[in-house]
Amino acid sequence: MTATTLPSPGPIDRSCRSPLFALFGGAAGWLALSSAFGLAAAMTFHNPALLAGCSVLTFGRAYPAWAHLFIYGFGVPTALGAGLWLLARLGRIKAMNPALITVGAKLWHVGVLVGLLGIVTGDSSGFEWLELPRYAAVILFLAFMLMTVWLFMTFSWRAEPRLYPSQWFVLAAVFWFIWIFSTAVFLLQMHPVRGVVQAAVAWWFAGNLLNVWLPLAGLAVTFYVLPKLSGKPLHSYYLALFIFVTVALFGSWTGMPVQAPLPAWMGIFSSTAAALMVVPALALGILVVKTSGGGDQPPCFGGVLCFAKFGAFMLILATLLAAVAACPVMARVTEFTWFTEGQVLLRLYGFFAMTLFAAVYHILPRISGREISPRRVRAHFWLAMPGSLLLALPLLAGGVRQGLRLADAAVPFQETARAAVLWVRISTLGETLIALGALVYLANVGWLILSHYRALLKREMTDALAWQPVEVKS
Amino acid sequence: MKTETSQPTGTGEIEPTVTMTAIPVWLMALLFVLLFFGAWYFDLYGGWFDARVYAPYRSVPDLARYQPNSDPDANFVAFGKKLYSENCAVCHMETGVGNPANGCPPLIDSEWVHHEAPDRMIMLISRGLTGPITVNGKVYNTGTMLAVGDSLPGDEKEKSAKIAAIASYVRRHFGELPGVVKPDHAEAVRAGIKDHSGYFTAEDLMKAP
Repeated sequence: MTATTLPSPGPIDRSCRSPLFALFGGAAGWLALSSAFGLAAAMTFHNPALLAGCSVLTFGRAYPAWAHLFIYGFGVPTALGAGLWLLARLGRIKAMNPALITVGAKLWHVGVLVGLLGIVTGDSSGFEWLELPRYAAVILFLAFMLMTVWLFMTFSWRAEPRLYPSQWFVLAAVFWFIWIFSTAVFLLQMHPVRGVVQAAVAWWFAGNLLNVWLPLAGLAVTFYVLPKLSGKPLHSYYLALFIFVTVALFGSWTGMPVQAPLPAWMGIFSSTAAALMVVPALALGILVVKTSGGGDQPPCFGGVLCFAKFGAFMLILATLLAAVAACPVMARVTEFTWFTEGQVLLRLYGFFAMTLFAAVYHILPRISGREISPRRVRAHFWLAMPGSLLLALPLLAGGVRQGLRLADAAVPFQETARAAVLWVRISTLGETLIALGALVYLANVGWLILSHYRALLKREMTDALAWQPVEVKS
Repeated sequence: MKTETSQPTGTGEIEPTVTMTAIPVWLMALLFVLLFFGAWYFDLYGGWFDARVYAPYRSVPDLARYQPNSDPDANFVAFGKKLYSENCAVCHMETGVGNPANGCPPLIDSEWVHHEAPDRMIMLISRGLTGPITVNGKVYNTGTMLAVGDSLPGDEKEKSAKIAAIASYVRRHFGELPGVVKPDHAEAVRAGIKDHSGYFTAEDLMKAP
């Protein structure tokens, strides 16, 4: 637990300190809590009677609470913090108005808490990935705007005029979130549209969140961390631009299940777009391999680079799986089974969370001035990496099996449901690893933040002690 | 290969750079192949953005094909409607209100249209009518109906079929009578009036069933 001191943070890193402490610190707490709710939700598959006495921990509340805390508690603030730091560093300018960003960050966490309380008391909206009640959505939106105004100011006042790909991704992610979140909240919660349009809007939001927003926000980090830590330039400007454009274009068409009770063109259009997403996925593969591959690279033992690389590969895998599942032949089997859940979890935990961990482990030591022991990072990696695979892969395999059984009229539904439990059991094992990893992450982030304050306190104390004799003397 | 360099930030760390390597051609080729098949797939199954088309149907004509058709005579009556618009609506109007100012009686609320047997109507359409005729309690005396049926193009069989179609439409639409007038029946009635020359009068028609 020896803290090696980094070179004292520069003015840019110092300017990001208070907002990033607020964003990353709160997010780490929400992630741990989200994993707890995830486990509680998973328990209902193994022993439905275990938590049945407590309404807060029943599936209908624990699962939305998990999703809410993962996306809005952990994902958005962490991505926003990383984005702020990237914009400041790459623009070679101090973060604008960090005090107001910090206020926004705290307001955001209040909004997440209000949303969580709403969900666990039964006030959930019932739309997937937008479970938070209306009043919490308003708080989150205001907090987001408060933070992003200064994020945008930091960008537009930058000293370095040339743009690096990460900057496009951060800005696009920010605007994308404002667009999809406000539209979905307005059309689903403020002035709900009627009938089948409601399902279409909800699916549109989910598709944009998972297939555009997550890649945009995550790849901003990937494209920064990979070249920096492997000591090579990012392989291709044009490939990055190509990924940016294709993800934004095709990703925003995805989301409608092909067998959904919607007009045929919606599902068909979405599945076509999901197939087209193969192209950016392959482009990302080239970019990652050419940037961070090669014989002179040290093997991956669980450092920051491993988080980022694993994350990128899991995004590729999840995108390819989504493309395969979009083919009508496959969709007839996998749609509305565990397969979809597995693909989404791979995207969330395999790609998004891992990439954000890379960002935090890279950024936080630089702004707190404290190096974190590689052993702590490695411990987290070896819990989170196998955890995410163990969580998602059984659901993918089990989903195919489940789909085939559901299509077989000779197999009773009860038997299909019972057979799926085995896969869910393995997956819960992965979820447990992830939950342990989230605790390690919380400890790591907490230690980095606290060690900064401890050092600060120690300096104050020594200053105070050094002052005292002078006072006595006078 | 050009390498962009960037200045170190205040911390002494060098920020990442990016090279201008081109995109591989095969990736572009793959994109266009997928776009081609995507567009083809959409064309085949997408229903071209029509909100009425749901899976498993593919297009609006596809939907129409699967609609239940309870009326086997719908096409015949539709044909009659077309002929009515072309030949009769000038005087009797599309709505069947007629043109009383010019001596043309209405078809709605007309005892001639409501009459059970179609023979009189077939005769009337074939040869036309002159002289006074009472419709719905009102006498129309100033106009003459031309031999519209006889002047329709085609041989005797086709004329009969067309007259039957017009009669079917008029009886169904304005008289609310079920069924249709069979072309064979029209042909038989027309054979019976072969020797009659010139317009009919209302008294002539009354003699028919």
